[in-house]
Amino acid sequence: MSADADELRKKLEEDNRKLNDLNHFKTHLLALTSHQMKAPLGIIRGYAALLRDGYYGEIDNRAREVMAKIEFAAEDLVNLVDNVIDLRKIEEGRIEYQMANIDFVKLARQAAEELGHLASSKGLNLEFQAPQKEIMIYGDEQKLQHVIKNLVDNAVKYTEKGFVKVNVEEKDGNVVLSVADSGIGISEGVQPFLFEEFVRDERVKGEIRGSGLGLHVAKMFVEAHNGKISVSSEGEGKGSAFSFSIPTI
Amino acid sequence: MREKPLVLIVDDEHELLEIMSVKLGASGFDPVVAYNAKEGVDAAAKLHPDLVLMDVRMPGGETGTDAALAIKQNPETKDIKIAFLSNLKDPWPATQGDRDRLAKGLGMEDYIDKTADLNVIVARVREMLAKK
Repeated sequence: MSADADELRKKLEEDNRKLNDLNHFKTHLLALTSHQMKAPLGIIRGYAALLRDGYYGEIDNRAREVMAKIEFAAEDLVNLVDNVIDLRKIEEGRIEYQMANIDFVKLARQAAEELGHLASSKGLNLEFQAPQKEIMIYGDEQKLQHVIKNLVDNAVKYTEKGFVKVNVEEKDGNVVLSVADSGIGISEGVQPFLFEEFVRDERVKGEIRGSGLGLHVAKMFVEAHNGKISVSSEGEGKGSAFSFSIPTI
Repeated sequence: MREKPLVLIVDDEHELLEIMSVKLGASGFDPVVAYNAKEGVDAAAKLHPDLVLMDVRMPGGETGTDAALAIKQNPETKDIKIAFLSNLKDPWPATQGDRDRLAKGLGMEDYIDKTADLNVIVARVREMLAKK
């Protein structure tokens, strides 16, 4: 190797190391500030909810809508912060999976029930369908609840009218959960990259808040269960369907 | 027998105490507040609440974890139900494991995320109080 090439290689290695350090510093800093952000965000969200529900006196419909917007924006930020913290743990290999034999139907029902109010606050009907029996898997209950809530939350966020349907079924040795909606759909070009970090559909960036991290974290959690996650949408305005599958035991 | 379940909320953030008190008060509970760990332990001994919601980290020497354990170790107050209330994802970083399980391992009822939907928090409080 010539002296020039050797010099260049060293420089590239050095640059690479610096970039890695910078990346590590970025997530470290984000995670640190994230913790500090959660307390004030909880307060914004809490007061907005109390004002909206009339605990500080009657408010008119317009003001109620605005309060709901503040509450949802704060909720989005809380989710972003949680995702950043999770992502940092994943990057550092510190995430722990508390694996146990669990009934997937029960955990999916719980997750969907917790988000029922979110759907009804937008006038949407959240349907839940599952077999009337247990479907046992080996997994981490909290991580899987996180994934389901993320998918349902997205469906509600991107759907103005119509439905959000959560369906659980057993198929070829897997349990498959799908979340389908009648929302704005996803541009075809974005679909293959949707589970990557910070990827969002350009059409909605200015209008609908989101971090572009939720699906990335969801994918990592599903893959840690030897599962697969995917998206399908006929295109813009035609709704979307996300589904993931995990082996049953 | 109390007409309404008495819920003691211990937190150093005054705004959070107000939010929780207003919501719990409107949801059929009788909320009382304490502003630090020591006050929390004293209030638990004096009032014998049906449930304590305890912040994990508070300024000053004693943490919420210390206070919760002190309540559980006192024979007079050991049967009072306690849930941690925190926005920390990693409340005990030196300890391995999931925070809900760690809380239960310490003898507590639950671990509630402060930033959760208020209706979800109320539902969890109801659930804990309904348990024998």
